[in-house]
Amino acid sequence: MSNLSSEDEDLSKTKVVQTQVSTDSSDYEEGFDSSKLSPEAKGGDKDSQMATQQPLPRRKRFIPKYDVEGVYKVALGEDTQIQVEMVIGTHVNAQFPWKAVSKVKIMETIDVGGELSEFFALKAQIEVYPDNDILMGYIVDESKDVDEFYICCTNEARDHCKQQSDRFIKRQEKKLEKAVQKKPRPWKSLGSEIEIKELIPINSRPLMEMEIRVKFPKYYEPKHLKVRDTNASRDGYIELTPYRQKFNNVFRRRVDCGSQAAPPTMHSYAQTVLKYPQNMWTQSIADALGKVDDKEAGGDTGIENVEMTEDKGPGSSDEEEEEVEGTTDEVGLQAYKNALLRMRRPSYIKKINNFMTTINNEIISMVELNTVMDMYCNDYPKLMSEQAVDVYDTMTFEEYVCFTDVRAKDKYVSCAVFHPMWSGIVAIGYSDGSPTVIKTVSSRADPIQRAVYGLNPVLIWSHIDSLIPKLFLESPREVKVLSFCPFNENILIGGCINGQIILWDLTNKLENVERMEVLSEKREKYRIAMNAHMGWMKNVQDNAVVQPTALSNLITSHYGPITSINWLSPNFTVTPTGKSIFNNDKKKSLMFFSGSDDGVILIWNLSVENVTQFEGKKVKKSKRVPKRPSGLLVDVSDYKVLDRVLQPCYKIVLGAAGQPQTLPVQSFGMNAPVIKYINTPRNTGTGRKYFTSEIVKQCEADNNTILYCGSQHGEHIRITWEGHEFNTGEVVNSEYADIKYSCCIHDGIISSTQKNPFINHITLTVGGKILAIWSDKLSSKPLTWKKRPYRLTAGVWSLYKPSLFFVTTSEGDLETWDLLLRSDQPIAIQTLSGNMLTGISLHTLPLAKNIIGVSDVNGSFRLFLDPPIFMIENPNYTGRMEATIIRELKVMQSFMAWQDEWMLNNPQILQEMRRKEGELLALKEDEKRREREEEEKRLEEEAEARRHEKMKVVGPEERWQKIIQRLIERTIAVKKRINRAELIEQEKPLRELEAQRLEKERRMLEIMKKQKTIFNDTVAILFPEAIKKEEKVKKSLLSDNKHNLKKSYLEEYTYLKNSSIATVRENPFQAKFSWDSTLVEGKERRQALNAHEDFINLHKLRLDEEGKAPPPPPPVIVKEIEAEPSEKLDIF
Amino acid sequence: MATEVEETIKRIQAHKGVMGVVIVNHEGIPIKSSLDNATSVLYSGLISQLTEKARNVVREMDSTNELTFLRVRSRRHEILIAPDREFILIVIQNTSD
Repeated sequence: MSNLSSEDEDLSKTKVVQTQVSTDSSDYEEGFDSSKLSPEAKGGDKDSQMATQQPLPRRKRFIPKYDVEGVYKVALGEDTQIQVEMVIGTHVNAQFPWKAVSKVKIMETIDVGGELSEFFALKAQIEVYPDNDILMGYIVDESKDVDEFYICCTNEARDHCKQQSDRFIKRQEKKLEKAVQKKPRPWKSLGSEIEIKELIPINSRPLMEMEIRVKFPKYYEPKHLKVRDTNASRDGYIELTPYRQKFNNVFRRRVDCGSQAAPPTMHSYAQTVLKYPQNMWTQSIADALGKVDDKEAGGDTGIENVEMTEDKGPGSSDEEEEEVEGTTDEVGLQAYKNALLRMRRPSYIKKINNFMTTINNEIISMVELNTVMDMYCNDYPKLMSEQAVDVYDTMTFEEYVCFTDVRAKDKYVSCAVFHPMWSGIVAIGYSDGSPTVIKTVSSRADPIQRAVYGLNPVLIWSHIDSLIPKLFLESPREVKVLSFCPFNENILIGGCINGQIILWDLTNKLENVERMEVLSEKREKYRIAMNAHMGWMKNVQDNAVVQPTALSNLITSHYGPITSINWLSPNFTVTPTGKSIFNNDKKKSLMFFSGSDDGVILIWNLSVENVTQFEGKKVKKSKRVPKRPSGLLVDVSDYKVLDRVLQPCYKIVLGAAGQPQTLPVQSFGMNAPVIKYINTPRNTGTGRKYFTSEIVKQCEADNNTILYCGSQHGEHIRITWEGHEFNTGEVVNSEYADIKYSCCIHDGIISSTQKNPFINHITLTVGGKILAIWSDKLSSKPLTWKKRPYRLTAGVWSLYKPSLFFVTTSEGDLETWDLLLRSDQPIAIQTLSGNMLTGISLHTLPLAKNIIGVSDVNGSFRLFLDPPIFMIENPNYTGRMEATIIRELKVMQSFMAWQDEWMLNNPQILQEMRRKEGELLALKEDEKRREREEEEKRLEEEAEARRHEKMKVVGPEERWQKIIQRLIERTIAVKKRINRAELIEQEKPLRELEAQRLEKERRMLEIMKKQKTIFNDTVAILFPEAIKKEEKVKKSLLSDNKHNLKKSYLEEYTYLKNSSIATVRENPFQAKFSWDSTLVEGKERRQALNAHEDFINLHKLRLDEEGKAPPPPPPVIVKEIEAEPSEKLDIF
Repeated sequence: MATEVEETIKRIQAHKGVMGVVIVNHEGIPIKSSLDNATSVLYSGLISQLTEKARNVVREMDSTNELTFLRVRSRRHEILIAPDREFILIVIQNTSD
């Protein structure tokens, strides 16, 4: 506030100063500009003028004095002015009238003009003048007709004139300056400031001090934008309704109407003929019933009751109760007795039967309806409760998407693995060859060129985008096998063709690619424009390209292509001495096994902690850049330290010590880590499901060092390893595996070896045309094996049912096997591709809809939706499967035992067999030897013949003859001007003619062959009647002698007539009729018609009960008799 | 006695959910029953009363009309009652599967 007021004051001051200045200026301009001033100020000014001007004498006006001694006036004509270069307007003017003129020029004019010259009068003075230049000045005087000039003829005069003129010019300039620039003068109050001051607030008290504290320095707190659910918040979005919308208002009218419903009072009387009350509380007939039964019918249940009552009788102390019971019993018993009595009566029985028959159908239909469906059930709550009714109607796999990339052209899918924790993500490695594809190599590419320039694509695809892979993983060598770490979502391991292990850390890589860069329209345009100008620039910052994080140490890696990778359960660790140990609670290992062509299985440890001990490489420090830019340090992987440092911690050699040959591993199976995946949604906006892994605790007993290895030659071995107690001193401790057994059952490369995910002592191997299932409990023999008519390329166990597995074939089929349903053939075969399939992989996450991936020989990877029938999970299956396996095991073991025993008991047969085999072998050997000998002989003969050919001496005579012959032929050809090509050309028409002739002959022959048919056809065309007649062999049913036929028919008729009449007579129709039954029926009908029958009956029965049974009243009988005739009439 | 009756009862009994069949005479005395004594007596006494009442209701509304069937639906059972002049057939059926 105070600041503001002071500022105001300043402003007002400057205003005042301005007005002062303006008054000054008006002083100089002597009031010409007084119109600018306000009338008040003007008045004030005039006063001040009067006050100041009068006392001060006006300054004398300076007039230069040139008329001194030595200065002469001379009038010059225009010609002379030009001659001496003193032209008015060009050389001199009123402001600068002085100029130095050269003495020579003046003298010239005098010499030329003589006495006529204007300078003649001053000739003497000029001649005397010592300097070369003479100062001349123009006298500004418009009143005269001639131009007059001053001329200084002495130095003194010249100096004086110069001084005078300078002074004059200075004066003039000063005056001008004064006119332009105004000097400020002290303030003189004219009274206006009082008015101004009135308007200005003036501080009446000291200003208050105020301290404001602000947090300093301010931290940079960037705000992050978040994805917001617009639907959730109230102002999430604005709905733009249509511009003009008509609403038809419906006015609700309230209609009130009242109506009084008052039932009229009605009185009616009904006589109830209830003998005694019978209901839940009074009817204690239950006991009585028993007694009656005992007495009358002798039922079994009754006896018990009697006993009970008898027991009760003496035990109960309450006499009254018994009495009461007794009385009620009596009444009840009486009624019951009567009822039973009545039941004995046949008429009563008939009645009850009738009742039952009439009611039977109805009641049964109702009961049936109730059993079949609940008519009255409320369907709505049932509909509301979501009961997923799966329809297991199809076993076909439905195609979902197909991944093909240009970079993988002419390559095979070497390996495809689904991500274990992110849904729909699959990593696919492409290579030039596939173990299951037999390729005829026509031209082998230069291996060096291939290694240097060839692409080794490893792509990561998402099921959402089937056109462009999400990531391109770079690799220096072809990657033969890939494997995601099942418990670390970011690690992808690959096995290279040169035996190295390659590791990619995928942290944030996918997110980087999928993050959409939101640019404003302007920036977008700018970027496009910039990119258009920067066509030369190579985009190096492609997010989709991922460089390998680490490669293993080349020296200690495999020596052949890596063929398979399996992860060790994180609960176990293999020590550098080869011992497999169970981890303590917290510690989790990160180890995997890799098998290779070179017959070695290496065990690798990826944990970063113990890397330092290997580290020999010095980190090169760059002096130029002391610190790397932060952009380069983003997303640096923890595993980067392993690069070219990673080496295996243990080595298992698949071979016997001392023998060079080892087993070239193609695939090996081991226990998969047991990991539970939990769905943890992440808000990435990609629709992908994320899972987190939870390592299921295992115990020491789960430690399993059994490995099943399948070789490239179809050999299947089971091995274990033990490890050393000490360090052997090698760089990588190694051990020759303990081969439990070896079995050469497969007839081709064993492409898949996998342990069952549910029952881990069961292993599936697929190789050649054979698939086999092995058990840990049975050695040297498969549990079961099947040979298929075509080659099998891969096999994998289902994740849902322990007995289910899928096998791909070279025919392009996907076979589904279920050991519980059928073990002799697949339960379903579906053709997925026109040519062979090379691999299969399963999406491992527990999703409602799951997919299966199949790679085919064209290098494409196709995803299929699992039919729901293959996704039924039932814990019963495991038990059933185990039972099946135990059964099979028993069969195999008993068979083997029997065979052994039999062989023991009948050694001669074995000998016989051996002998026969030996004979056969010998025969074969013989055959082979003979063949070989023959072959050798043949070859020798051929060689001999050739040698002879070579040896054959061609005499000079013969040679000469040959040469002559050739010469003659050539000369003749030349002479006759015969050209061989020309001849052939000329021969062409002849040849064509020949060909045509041959064709004609062929056709003729064909026609000849068809002779008969042609003949028939022509006949048919020309004489259709003739043919038709032939065909018209209609067999008429009527024979010729119609007369006879008629006769016979007539005879037949008479016979039939007589016989039928006879039968009718013999068996006359007799309607059964009995008066009794008719009467009874009539009575019943009558009763039905009679509404009061009930009452009459009631009375009758009452009378019966009373035992008196008086004779029925006569009028009733009369009535009945009367009724009879009408009933009879009714009947007929 | 009446094998026909027994057969019918058996046939009804054979259906799914049928808990019992009782034949009651016009006095409310169970003549035939597949249930134990106490329950059959209980049912027959109560249902004969109900039937009589129902019969009266029907007849009161229209004297030419007649009650032919009565179904008592409960949460657990359905009682099918076929009334006649002389007898009442009661079938108790369990409908909540």
